[in-house]
Amino acid sequence: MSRRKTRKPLPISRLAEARGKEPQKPQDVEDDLKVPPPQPLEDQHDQPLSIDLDENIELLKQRVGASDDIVFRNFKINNAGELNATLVFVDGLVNKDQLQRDLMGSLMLFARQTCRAEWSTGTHGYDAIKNHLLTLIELKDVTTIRQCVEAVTAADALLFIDGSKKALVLGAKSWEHRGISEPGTEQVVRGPRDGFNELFKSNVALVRRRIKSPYLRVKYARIGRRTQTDMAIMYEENIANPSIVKETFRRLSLIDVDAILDSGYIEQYIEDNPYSPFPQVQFTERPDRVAAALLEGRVAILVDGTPFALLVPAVMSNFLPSPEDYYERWILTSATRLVRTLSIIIAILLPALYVAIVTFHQEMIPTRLAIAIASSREGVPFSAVVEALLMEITFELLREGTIRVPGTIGSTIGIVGGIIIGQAAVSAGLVSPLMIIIVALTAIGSFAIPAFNVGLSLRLLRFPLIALAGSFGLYGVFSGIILIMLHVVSLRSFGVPYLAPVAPSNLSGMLDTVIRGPLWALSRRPKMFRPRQKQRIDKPAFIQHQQEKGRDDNAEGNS
Amino acid sequence: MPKVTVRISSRQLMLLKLTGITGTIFFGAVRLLTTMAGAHAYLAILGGGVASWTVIFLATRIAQRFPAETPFEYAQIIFGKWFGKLFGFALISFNLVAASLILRSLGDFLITAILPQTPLSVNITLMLVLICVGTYLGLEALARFNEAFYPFIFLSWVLVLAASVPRLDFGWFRPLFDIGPGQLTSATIVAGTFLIDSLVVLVFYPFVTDKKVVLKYTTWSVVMGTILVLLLQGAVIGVFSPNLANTLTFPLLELAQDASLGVFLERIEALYLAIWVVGTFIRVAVVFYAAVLGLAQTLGIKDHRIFIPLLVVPVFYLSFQADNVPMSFNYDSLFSHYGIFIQFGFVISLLLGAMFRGKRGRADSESKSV
Repeated sequence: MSRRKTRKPLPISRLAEARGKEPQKPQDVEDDLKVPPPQPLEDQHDQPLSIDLDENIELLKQRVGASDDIVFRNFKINNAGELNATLVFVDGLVNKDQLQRDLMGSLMLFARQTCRAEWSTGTHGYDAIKNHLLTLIELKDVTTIRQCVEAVTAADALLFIDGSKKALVLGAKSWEHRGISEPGTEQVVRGPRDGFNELFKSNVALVRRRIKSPYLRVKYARIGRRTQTDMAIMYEENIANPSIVKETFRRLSLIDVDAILDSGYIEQYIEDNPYSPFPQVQFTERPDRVAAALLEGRVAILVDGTPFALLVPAVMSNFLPSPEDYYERWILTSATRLVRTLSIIIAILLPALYVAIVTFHQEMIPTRLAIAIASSREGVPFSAVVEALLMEITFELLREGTIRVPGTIGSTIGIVGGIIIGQAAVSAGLVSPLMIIIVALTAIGSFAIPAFNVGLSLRLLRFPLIALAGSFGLYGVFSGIILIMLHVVSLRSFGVPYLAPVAPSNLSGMLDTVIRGPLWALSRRPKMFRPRQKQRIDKPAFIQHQQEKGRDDNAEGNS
Repeated sequence: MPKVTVRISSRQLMLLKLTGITGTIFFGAVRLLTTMAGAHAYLAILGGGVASWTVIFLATRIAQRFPAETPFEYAQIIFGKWFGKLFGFALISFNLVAASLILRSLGDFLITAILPQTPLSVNITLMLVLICVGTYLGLEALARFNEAFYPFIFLSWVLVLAASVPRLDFGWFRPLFDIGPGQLTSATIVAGTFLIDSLVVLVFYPFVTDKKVVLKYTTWSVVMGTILVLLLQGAVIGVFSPNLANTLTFPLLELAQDASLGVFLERIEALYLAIWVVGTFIRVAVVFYAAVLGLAQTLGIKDHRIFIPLLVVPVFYLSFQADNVPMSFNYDSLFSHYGIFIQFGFVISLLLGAMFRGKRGRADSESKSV
């Protein structure tokens, strides 16, 4: 914790101050990791259930209102007492087949055979039904009306029995959902094809299936006062640094809003610096990526209703690799990494450098090229900086336009963009052909960055850089870079310096940043996340293999 | 004001010092040394290296006596409250003057070399804005920034050197040792000033985590800095001859101008310049940060950041004291003749004061809070 700077005032910390809550002090790991308690529904006082069934039902109806999708099914339990009972559930969110078979069938047909006569009323009747009749796996008692409301709205079925002060919550959630399909945002050529879907429990299972370690911890929590969104926090206990895990829980527990509709909401509440253009929380649709992150000592947050899991802490070097990097051989991957580094430089710098050189430092360009540029710019009415801004804005418009329209119209826009704007603008003498090439290269560069959001932020930063280049030349460009770099080096994600392992530098970490070293050489987990177990492989397997091979060769030679 | 723990490593300190030496070498150092010692500047540089290492060694000794405090704090312990504060102000003024001189050199350089149409004040203001941001973000950010950027500065010098190798003529160095003792001494003093940068060690020592290896790393920085300056100076003399080099305003820039990167980018000195501007930024930001931090600590105020706007004004004002480029060169040369003595004076008075009065600082804590 000592490494962490005290954060600047953030929405979340302001919330904490407003509520007079002190951040939890670091104690022992285990007893401190409390899941944030579910936020109570607002402006409703709680009260215990009554012994009278009708009264309970009336109360519940008052609370959940006259919604047509909430089903109240009254029936008589076929035991000696002929008890009245009511089953409450939200239509479409429970498995009706299961309820019919395991609940209604048991209670209405077989109750008399199974239950003794003295178990027929009140508390006895309730216990007998719970312990002897219902064959459902998930059963829970609730005793207050608020718990009942929460259970019904959280898609559990609720069984009220006359004469009992308790109600039974029956876990039979089931709803229509998307199957496991290939992740749309992170496609790979080589590697697993399964991606998360909108069910957080199945997402947790996808990760759990990959890590069979007993140290994998999964904590459930509910967040959002009205949406009551489920989430799971996952970490590998003997790898993840306790202070990072604790900090994650602390920040999550401070979120008090009415709606969490996507993990993006959570990201914006827990990030360190909300004013930075750089993302400080990583999102992914890929279970293999989550598994890899957990094994590096990071924490994953899986949210119900979205296929995007969050990974914290996330530093710059986390956004550059694609999961595929680790499945392909290292030399090829290292080359790919270098290409990506180049793509970042192009995405952020190319138009600015062009503007600076054409406007201020023509002497830098070789004479022939200078003549070519000058002749291509002949007749263009704008200065290079205006031309660059114009084309960049046009490109942004085109990009935004293509994303939102239906696929069939998309190609039309492509034609409009490519032919009309590209070709016609040049022949009309509005922009130089060289500028079109620069803008196109920049666009490709920004799309070559695997993380979509980093590409977006770099594209944003390009505009002030172009403006600086137009006013101060290379001096301006580098002033802009100084500002950006100063910001980046002072950023932190959950206490981890954002530019690690480049600055503060760490050689073994660089082996998996600029290039992707051979897997056997990456024997240490990334130092920046301060993992509990630093070593990934005790002895690099390759070296071991080499030594054994040497021994065999010697043995052969001796014989 | 939240308490911020600032920690840098010895390696980061070394790199900061190296940038201090090599980031600004292209302004005045080579020109001054060439005019003063001609082909024999290498002797002066070697002598200057030894002299500056001595001062840095002494600075490390005094810093080791007060591992948890900056000189602004322990000056008040050694000399008493009022004299200590006076000492602090002297140190701050020195830093402010140094910052403004470098800033002015940068402005002159930009106007001469790449932006002849842009007014001096605009260039300097833009750099000052960057410096304020850097100072606001603090030492840790500056050290990391430098760490990430130093390879490029280093690479730029290596490229300049490599490109000049084919044009070297060792005949220009003959006759050896043909230099008067007085000339050599004054050149050595100037070289020492360019290589020393002892205040970085003095002020930032308490923020270093691995204090045991500070001397090792700072020694390395002096050695590497000396070698680099030696090579660059040698390249200037070897390529241009002492007589021609004497007439050049920015010899290193001329050296870089002939270097080309393949056929695509022929005259890439503007790119070098841009990289060196970053080096200059780091140098000035570090010096200015030391001044701002010093003022806060001398006055006993926790948050140094409120003094940034206050101290920007004198730096801006001082950087306009010279009316023209020759005058600014004059100031530079004046400063170079006394810089090492002033720094030596600061260090030795602290050390002797502490030794005679038997003062020691608090035990070392892991890191320092600001």
